[in-house]
Amino acid sequence: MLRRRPDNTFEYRDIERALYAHAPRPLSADRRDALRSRVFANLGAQDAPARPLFARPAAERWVAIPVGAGIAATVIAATNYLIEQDRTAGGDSARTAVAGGSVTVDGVAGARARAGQVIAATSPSWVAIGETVSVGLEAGSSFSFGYSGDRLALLLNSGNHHILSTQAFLEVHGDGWTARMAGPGALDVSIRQWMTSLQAIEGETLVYFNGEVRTLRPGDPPLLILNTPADTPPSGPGGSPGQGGSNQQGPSGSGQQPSQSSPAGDSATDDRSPGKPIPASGGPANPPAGASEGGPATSSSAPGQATPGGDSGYGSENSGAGAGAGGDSSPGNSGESSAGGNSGENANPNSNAGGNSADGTPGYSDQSNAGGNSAENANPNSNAGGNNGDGSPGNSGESNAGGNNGEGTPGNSGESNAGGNNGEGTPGNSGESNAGGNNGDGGSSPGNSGESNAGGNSGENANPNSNAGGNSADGTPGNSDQSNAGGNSGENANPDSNAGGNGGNK
Amino acid sequence: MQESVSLHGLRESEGRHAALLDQLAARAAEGDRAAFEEIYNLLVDDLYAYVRGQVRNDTVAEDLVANVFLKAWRSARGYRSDSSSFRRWIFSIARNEVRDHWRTAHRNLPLADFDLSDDVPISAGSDAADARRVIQAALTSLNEEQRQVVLLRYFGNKSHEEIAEILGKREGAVRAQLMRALRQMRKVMGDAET
Repeated sequence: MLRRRPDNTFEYRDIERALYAHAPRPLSADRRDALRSRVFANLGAQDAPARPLFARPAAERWVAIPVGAGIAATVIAATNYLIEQDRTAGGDSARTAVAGGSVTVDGVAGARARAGQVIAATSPSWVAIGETVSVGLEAGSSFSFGYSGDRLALLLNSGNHHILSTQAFLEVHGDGWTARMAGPGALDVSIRQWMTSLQAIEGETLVYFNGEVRTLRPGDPPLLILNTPADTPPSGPGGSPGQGGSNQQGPSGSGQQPSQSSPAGDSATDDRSPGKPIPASGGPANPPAGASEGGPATSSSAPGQATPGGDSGYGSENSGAGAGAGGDSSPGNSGESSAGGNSGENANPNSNAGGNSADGTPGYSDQSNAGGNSAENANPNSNAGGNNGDGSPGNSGESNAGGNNGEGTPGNSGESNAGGNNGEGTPGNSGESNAGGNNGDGGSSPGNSGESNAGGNSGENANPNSNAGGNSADGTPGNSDQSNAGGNSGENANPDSNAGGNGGNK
Repeated sequence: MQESVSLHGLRESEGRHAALLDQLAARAAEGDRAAFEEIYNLLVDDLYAYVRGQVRNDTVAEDLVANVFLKAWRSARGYRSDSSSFRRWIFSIARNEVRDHWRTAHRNLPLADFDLSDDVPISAGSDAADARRVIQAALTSLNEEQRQVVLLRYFGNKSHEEIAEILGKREGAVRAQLMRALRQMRKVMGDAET
């Protein structure tokens, strides 16, 4: 029955019970059989499968480029037209590039380029080199080309390139890498400030970098290669943020100081391994310690190889390779998908997975991934809040874990998952659903879980408000006024919870 | 510990279930009626409970569930059988079917028409009709997303994880949604009883 409480409210569990009790009756066996007969008597023909969005015409094998699907077809068509026009005009296109769109050649607006000249696009453009190689350029992209004997080679400088080749062999050079398209094929190359991404769209491409060789095939994830920084920033101090975020529930033990439920600890450690290209795996976030795409490398070490557990350097499926944290420059920004950069002092304001900062404000992530890490300052807006060594970490408005904090106030998670974890101070709060923060051993209260799940864990003090109260080694455990189990206490009782706490000594 | 073990077991079981549904869906997409009948056996009760909670009576619910299966069969080749989301896919058909039903009936939502079971009184001293009225009023006060979650949870006996799978949301978001729904219902029920 519904039991009204003194404050004129009902207990959730009674509402739940009432809902269960008033659920519509299930389908009876005979009605189920009758319905089955009715359904199977009327099964008709099946619809044909939906046509794929991008079909591959027999004569154009490039159309199925997943990113910017029309680009390659446009490039083919446009460059064929350019070559034809050039030939009609008496040009020798064999060793000349003909450009369409808006390009500059060695800084001057033009449409024809010779080997060695830099072709830069000021709008989406296309360039035909001879009759067998076409390059689609996005605005801001530039490259040049040259010959080694009869062999054409492209030298890519910046931006996004869609390279289409119908010749037997094409060499493409970048910063610290060489790609060899073994035969007719298509290759997408995206050069950003700190990283280059290579993806084979058609045909196989061998990529040489850092003494390694990788074969890229269609369907493989992009190969991400860290670029050599133009100006190596001085070494930053490197943050020492607290523990990693958690989507786990807090308490489970009794009478013990709980361990933090942080599967991924952050640390802007100095232990940064030399940079290595890292293929984007497309898997779940296993972010590197102090490392993320687009971030500047430290002066003392090469960019960091990702190691599991840590800040969300490049956790998303679109993410890039890690770079070391701790410099002084602003970290890289990622508009839509990838992880932000790392910075010794400055923020990464826009990336999904925010940047990491040793001293300054970390990046914000308004949409999806982990916030930045900061040694001293907060990341107020990211979904998964930032991690902080000393100051206030970020808050998570809707979904993921709040920030983690070494000493200060951790982040809050507004709606769903775990609050922040705290080494010594006050842990984070989880507004609606999951676990509150955990508190290591300080004198503060553990996190609160506003509505549903477990509260935080506290070494000494109580968790006054969570549904499933916190656990306390020495103090008063949390109270649960609505639904779940109370806290556990080594010495004290949990007097008010529905399912009371466990008292170690009382 | 026991709970975590059983939860783990439940998730494993649900994973196997999703894989089985995918296999059956792949066969059904090739016109295999026996496979489709297995799908029917696996899902008809869940779909009926889900639909029945949103329409006026058993007959309408059965009509809609039949339509759901017929549409699923007709569109079976459109389902990506490696996506482990068949349940979500077919529930989305059911959701649209219910919407179409109420749209056709020139009604926005079946708010006042929850036809609740009258087996159990919910309040000592109040009659069943009053109890149902209170529950109905509380359900009516929910927005559509909240109502979907509540229906799946309490009328369909789905776990949070299953609801998340069906609705394509995160499990944490489902928990939060459910808790907000209960809070809203508590408020409305308190007001109604006052």
